[in-house]
Amino acid sequence: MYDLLLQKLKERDVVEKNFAELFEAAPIQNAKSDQGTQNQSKSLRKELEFRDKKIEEFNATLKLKNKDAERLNDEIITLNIENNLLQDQYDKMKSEYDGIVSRWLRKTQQEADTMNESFK
Amino acid sequence: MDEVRDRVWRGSLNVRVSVCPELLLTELSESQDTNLGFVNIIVPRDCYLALYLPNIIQKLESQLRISVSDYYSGWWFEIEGARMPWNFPVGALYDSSTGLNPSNRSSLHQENSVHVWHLMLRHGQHIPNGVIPLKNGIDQIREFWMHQWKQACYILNGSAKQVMSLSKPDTLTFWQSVIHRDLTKFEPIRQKIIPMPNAVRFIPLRIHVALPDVRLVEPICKAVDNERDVELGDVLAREFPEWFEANEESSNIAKPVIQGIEVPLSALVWEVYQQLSSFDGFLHISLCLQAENQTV
Amino acid sequence: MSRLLESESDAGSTSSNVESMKSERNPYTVQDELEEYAKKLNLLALGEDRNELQLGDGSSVSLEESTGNNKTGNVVVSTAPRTTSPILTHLSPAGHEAVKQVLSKTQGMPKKLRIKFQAIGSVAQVSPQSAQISSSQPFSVLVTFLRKKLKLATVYCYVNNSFSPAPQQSIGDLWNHFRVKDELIVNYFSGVAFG
Repeated sequence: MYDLLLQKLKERDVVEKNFAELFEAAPIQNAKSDQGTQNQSKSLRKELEFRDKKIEEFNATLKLKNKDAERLNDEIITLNIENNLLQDQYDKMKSEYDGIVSRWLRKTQQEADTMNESFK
Repeated sequence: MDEVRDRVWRGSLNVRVSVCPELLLTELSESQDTNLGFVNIIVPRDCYLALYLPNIIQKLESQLRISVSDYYSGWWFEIEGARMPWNFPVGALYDSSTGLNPSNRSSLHQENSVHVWHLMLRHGQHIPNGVIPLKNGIDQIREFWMHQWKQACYILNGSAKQVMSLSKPDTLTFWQSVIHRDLTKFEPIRQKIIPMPNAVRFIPLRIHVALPDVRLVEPICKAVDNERDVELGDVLAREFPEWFEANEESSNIAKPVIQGIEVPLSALVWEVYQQLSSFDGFLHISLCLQAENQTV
Repeated sequence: MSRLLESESDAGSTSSNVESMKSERNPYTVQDELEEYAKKLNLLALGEDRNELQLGDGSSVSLEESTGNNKTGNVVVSTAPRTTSPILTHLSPAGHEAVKQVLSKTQGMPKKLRIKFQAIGSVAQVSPQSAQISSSQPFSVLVTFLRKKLKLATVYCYVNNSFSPAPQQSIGDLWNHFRVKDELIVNYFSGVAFG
């Protein structure tokens, strides 16, 4: 069994390690960044991150404002409908009133006429 | 030094780690230059992928659009959209996630073919479910690994005493040997934990199943049952009766793959454990389902 | 009235503009943050559901998940990468049958297992001391449960006073390996107890 396992491991390594030299044997190491050269790009990345955040914030506000605008628009529409209804009612009242006034005028005219007639 | 142990320890994979395009600088991600946004490294089969995070990220740092504050926290690996946990040995992850069929692979192998495992490196606030978040860098990995050993030790000996009573220098050397890939320092300490053959309580096994879902099975397995040495086929037939039939090699639909090689079902589990177990004290078995067009 | 209709359509078009501007690449807008919070709250609520007291069993608590959300609690199951998945389509008929059988088996009934909590040092003992939990749950469910019960930010959990398992390990497997008199003993502390 031992020899079988060994032989299979050898076969495995033939496949898996073919051209392994093209790949870098990386040591496991504790994180330590080489400073100096990276410093400027680090600060630029910070800047980028800051801007990204700003853009996100702006987009969020934009979304909010948009919601507001929609709400206001809805309000305008409702108010307008209300206004139209009131206008209609007003028109109806006005024509009714006009009718009444003209009838009253006619009536007084008639009265005046009959009075004039009787004076004659 | 035992040659099988040596080969197991020195087994390695060629890995290409590509960065998720979202993390690259816009200028680079839009450029046609195909030499950007990845690293090629050799990763030992018997270690944790997460240990290589600092190395990989440092190499890619200048191409990233984010500023890296922590080399462990918030990073994870994916394969074709499926997230990879880091807490299993690289080799076990590779074998199960690719459904490796060793005989099939070596028949396709040619002298000029290169074997590469493609991984994607990702970063974000919300680590996917199933990946242990790394909050405390390499120390957390070390602690996790020690607890894995204690667990394995408990299964082997009935208590974690052998690991807990290791001296301070021994404990340190044990971990250092993993980091510096030094088998000559690793083996003596491992031998202190592994019991004599007649004192083995159970054998720490982990079976990785990738289909139909990724799943981990930790069966109870004795070294000797009813005065008969337990064979690999016995355990598998008990846990997966649909896939393995006891005493019948031919009709099996799946086969066990350990450390990238196919192990015969007649192999004795205790023997296989001693030779092929991983650096975390467990024997990781990947089950490879045989497709119709693959013949043994 | 016609003026109004016009302005309404204006509003519509701007809103769609904004929607498209807010494209894929900004993951943490206020909205998303709120959604994230909602998700978290949901999770907590689910946890609450799960801790329903089991009546008629003396002093034990059942950590069972509620029936409505059978997706959340189980041991982490994820889909395999595509390289392995194509194998499914090439399987022999017998292989297909086997995969199906395994699927139905994994969905089978999980057992109820008994867990015993033991505090280490100065941490308060939870009551009741023992609980029942389904074998398909991951260990992390226990940790979350203790954290909420004790109202601590972090709780370190150990099995049998010796090691802490990986959060994804299933309670069933742990119980099988490490139970003592049919109970899985979980020790907990607010700090690191066993290095």
